[in-house]
Amino acid sequence: MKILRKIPFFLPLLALLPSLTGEQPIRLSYPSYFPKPHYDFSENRLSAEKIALGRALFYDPILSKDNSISCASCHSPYNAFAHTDHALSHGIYDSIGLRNAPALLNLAWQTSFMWDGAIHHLDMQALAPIGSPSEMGADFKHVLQKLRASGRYPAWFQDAFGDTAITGERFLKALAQFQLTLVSAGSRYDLMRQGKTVFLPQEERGYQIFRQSCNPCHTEPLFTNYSFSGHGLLPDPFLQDAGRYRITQAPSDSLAFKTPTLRNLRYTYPYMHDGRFKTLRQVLDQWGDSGGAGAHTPAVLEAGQKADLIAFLRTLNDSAFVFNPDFHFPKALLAN
Amino acid sequence: MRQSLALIACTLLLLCSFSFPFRHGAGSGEKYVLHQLRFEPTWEGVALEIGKTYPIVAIGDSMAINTLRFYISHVRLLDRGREVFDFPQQHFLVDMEDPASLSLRWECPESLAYEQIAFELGVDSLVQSAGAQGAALDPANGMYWSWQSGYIHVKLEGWASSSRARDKSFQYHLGGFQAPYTAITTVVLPIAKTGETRVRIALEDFFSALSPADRPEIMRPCAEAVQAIRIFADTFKTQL
Repeated sequence: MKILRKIPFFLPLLALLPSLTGEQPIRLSYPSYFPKPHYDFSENRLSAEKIALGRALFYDPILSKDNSISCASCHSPYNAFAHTDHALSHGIYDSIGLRNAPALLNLAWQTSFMWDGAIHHLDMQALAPIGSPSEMGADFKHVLQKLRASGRYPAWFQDAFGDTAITGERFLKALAQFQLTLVSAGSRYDLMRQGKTVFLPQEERGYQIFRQSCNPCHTEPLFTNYSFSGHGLLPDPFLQDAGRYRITQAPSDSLAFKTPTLRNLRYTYPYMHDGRFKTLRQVLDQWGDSGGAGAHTPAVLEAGQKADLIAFLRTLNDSAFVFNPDFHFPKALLAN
Repeated sequence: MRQSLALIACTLLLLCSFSFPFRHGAGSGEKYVLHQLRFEPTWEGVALEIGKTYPIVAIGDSMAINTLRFYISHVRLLDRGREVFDFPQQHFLVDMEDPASLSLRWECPESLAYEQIAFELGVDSLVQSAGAQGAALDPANGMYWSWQSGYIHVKLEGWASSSRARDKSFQYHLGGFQAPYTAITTVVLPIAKTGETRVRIALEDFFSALSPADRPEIMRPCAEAVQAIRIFADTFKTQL
């Protein structure tokens, strides 16, 4: 069964290249003002078949211990692959995780993964939620066994890799491939960068405030520099989350978390690593009134400036990305 | 002259081969000799049995080992400290429960001189930083941390009557590839030129230096993991 025959495949952001092997190689397409991707595609060359396989894996709850939770359970496409309205991620048996599920987009440029940077390669990221007792709670080896016995995955792996062997390496590379295609570059900001529109006066004022106060950490055009910093927030007394300190055990990393992208904030609330703020205004009130207590915080903002800044942040919402059917649940593959 | 020597050295390196799955320089006419290195986990000189309880009379303790798995990488043969052959397969997963994995076999031209074998105990940072990999390095082998990127260099699990853990277990998942907790360790052992070299892994030495009573778990990159993997490396003894 050809995996692509069952799925209408249309990726406007991707350019098809000629193939001599029957496999449909793909080159990731992105705007000229984006930097070179961090991901090394030479070690995992994109193909339509592998992306389709990765997409099926992403949406299939077979990855969890009790077949109830998929990646999309906490990374919903309609929320820019975050978990809107849930402060902390949810897992099997109604368990609640430690942190807010981050949006998944522009991952080819991301240098580390998870709020604390615990994972340093996109390929390996999926192992964390699969194995976490408060997320999917599964044994990776057992997940592969379930896929082998599933009746449909061996054929899909054959389409993608040339034979039916289902290995950890292939699983992880296919899942990474689908996530790599999640490029968000169709916002009003992007149209402005491409000369296809101009900002309204309030948006322009907000853009100037942003460039002055926010850009050092939320660096254009990805709107993050992927660094870690403390942001002056007191730790949640229940969660007791020390942030990156948990990974490096360096005192300077205590309560430090990765700078998130500001793209698609409309879809990804609540905000911060523990989802403590429901609105952008609450976030800016934390930052803008006190100047923040962290080392990388902006100047005090007047109320009007906050409104201008929020007007600019809205230009980073990318509805074309959120409603792109190529990123959604693959009904033709998994609906039965 | 120097170029000639380099050419001869390169030729000899190419002639060396593993009996499985590598075979370089076949049909050269050079006489080959087969060598095998066999890891033998032991307890006080006797072959260790998985799950068997062993007494530690000196401290009134007893323990059983259920899992012993470790990576070795960058295996090379040395002649007076100089590398003369670098094994082509970069990483081997040695698993006490998989007898085939306990042996390394290779063939070399009879003329190649070497007296030591060296390897890294663990997975190097270059591989650790790469993406998903297969065979011995497939994360499905259960030797990859999921909560934090990184291979477990050595996994040693079991039970000890002195353990402070709830179920009297001990779990040593020794890893770490980034400073300051780089746990990968070099092991250099004398080796016979032909036949079989047995390398005993004297586990009683490990537990005389690291007691489950004091530390039943090491599960993350840390100073204790670095120390523990060095202790484990010191348990390797060649039986010529």
